[in-house]
Amino acid sequence: MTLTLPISRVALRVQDTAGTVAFVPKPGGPPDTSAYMWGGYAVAAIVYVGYVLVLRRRIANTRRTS
Amino acid sequence: MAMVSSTTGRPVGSAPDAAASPLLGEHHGVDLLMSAAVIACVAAVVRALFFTPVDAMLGAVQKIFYLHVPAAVVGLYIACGLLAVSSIMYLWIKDDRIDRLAESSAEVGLVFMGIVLTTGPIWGRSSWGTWWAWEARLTSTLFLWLLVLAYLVLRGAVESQESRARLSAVMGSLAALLVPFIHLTVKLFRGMHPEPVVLAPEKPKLPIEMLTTFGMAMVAFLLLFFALLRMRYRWTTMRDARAALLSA
Amino acid sequence: MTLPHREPRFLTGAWQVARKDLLIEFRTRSAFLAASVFAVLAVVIFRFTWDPTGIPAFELAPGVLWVIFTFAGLLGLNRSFALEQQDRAFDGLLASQLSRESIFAGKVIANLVFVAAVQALALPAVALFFDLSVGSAWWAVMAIVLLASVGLSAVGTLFAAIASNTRMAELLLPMMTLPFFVPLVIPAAQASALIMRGQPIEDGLSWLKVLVAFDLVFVSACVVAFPFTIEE
Repeated sequence: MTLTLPISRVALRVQDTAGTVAFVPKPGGPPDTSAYMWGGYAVAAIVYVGYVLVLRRRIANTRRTS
Repeated sequence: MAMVSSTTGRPVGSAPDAAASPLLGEHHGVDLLMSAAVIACVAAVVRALFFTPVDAMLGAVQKIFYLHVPAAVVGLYIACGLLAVSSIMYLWIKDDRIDRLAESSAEVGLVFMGIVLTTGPIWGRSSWGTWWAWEARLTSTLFLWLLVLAYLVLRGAVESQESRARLSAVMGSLAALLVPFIHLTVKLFRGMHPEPVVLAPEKPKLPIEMLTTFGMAMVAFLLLFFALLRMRYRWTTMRDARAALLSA
Repeated sequence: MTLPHREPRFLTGAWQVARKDLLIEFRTRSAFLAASVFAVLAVVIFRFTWDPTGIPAFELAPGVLWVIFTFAGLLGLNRSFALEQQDRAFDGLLASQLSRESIFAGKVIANLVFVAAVQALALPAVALFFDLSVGSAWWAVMAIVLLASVGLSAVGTLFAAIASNTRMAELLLPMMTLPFFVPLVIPAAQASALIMRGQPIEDGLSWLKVLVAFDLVFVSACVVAFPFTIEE
């Protein structure tokens, strides 16, 4: 699912070049690095959900054997 | 001849009924804090992924920032801070609850620092072309992660509960002293080499939409940390109570 | 008539403990031999896997040196409290008039001497194999090595005391100490590299400051923390 972004915001940022590295936005918008984004979010989700599951299993084990 | 306890009417020496035992600290009902945390996280993630503008220079991968920085703040400052403070406090006031807090914040901190150490290289691979570049904060996080891991391994290796609490408190206190030295060493080391551009929260002038998303993510991660911490702490209490029962 | 028994003063007590540990090590030589063999092996392996045309000696040598010192030091630290494990000899040590702090200081001194002995072997070996010409700045290298070794011994001895309470001391000791060695080994290696490259010692002043600060903070912290590692 893609969201249409106002092109004016993305491609025509006001550049304040005083003391900064000059940056010229590429024509056609930002690079498509969404694969990395999904990868990062997936990793985070797996780690957190995994940890909650580990904790729940430990709690169940402790309850069961006592 | 089987002996039956006159008070509970059950055979002497059998395991107490788990549901009836107040010692194990049973908590029934919905975990409100965890539910709130999950809702906040889902909201923040949805907003970050679908309702926040894409960075013009870096593209979509910049959105990892909303995971990486809050995880770093929580894992490095809050979790490790709790670990350090409770270790020192335990040496002073030998209260088991402080020891359990230390253990719980160590493990939950390990999880959050793990997020930092995995999302950082993913971001780095996209922006710098390399998975790892000895950037200052990532390197410090790596050393701290190894330190907390060693702390947890130590805890696992000591049999007696009293010794375990005392020895790990010593290690935790020394670790607290070590942290500034690690930061200093890494900073000096990086000072010799050009610094890769980093995911700095002090980046000038984020647009308001990004700041809001970042704020939401920060709140969500804080809620998640305390929910996980409490869950872990409760399990520790249960586990120690059971161990005390079994060895009594 | 019995002479009143006075508690030994701190340094005397420390030296007695150090002397005892060193005498035992000197007679058996097991840890020292293991450390020396490791040092020679490391030097040989690094030397013969090194391409002199690719990397200059002063880039590789400090790393080799500090790998040797760290792991050889760990070999010595491992047996630091193992000596008194048998027959509850440690209780005897505690029951003596020596203060906890002087016992700790004595063990630190013994470990320091052990590490220095390995360094006395390894430094010339590395200098020889890697054709290092340090020249008149050798004293600076020695000073760096000494500063770092003090920190290594203090922290290592404390964690050896902790690890001796566990079943997996040989695994735990490196795991616990290596993060603590980072602010020692990196500054020491960087400063030594500087000197081997021919730069004046002043260029490495910030590294030296880290070493000195670490030593001051951690030697005192470990002396204070040591009594907590002993079960009463």
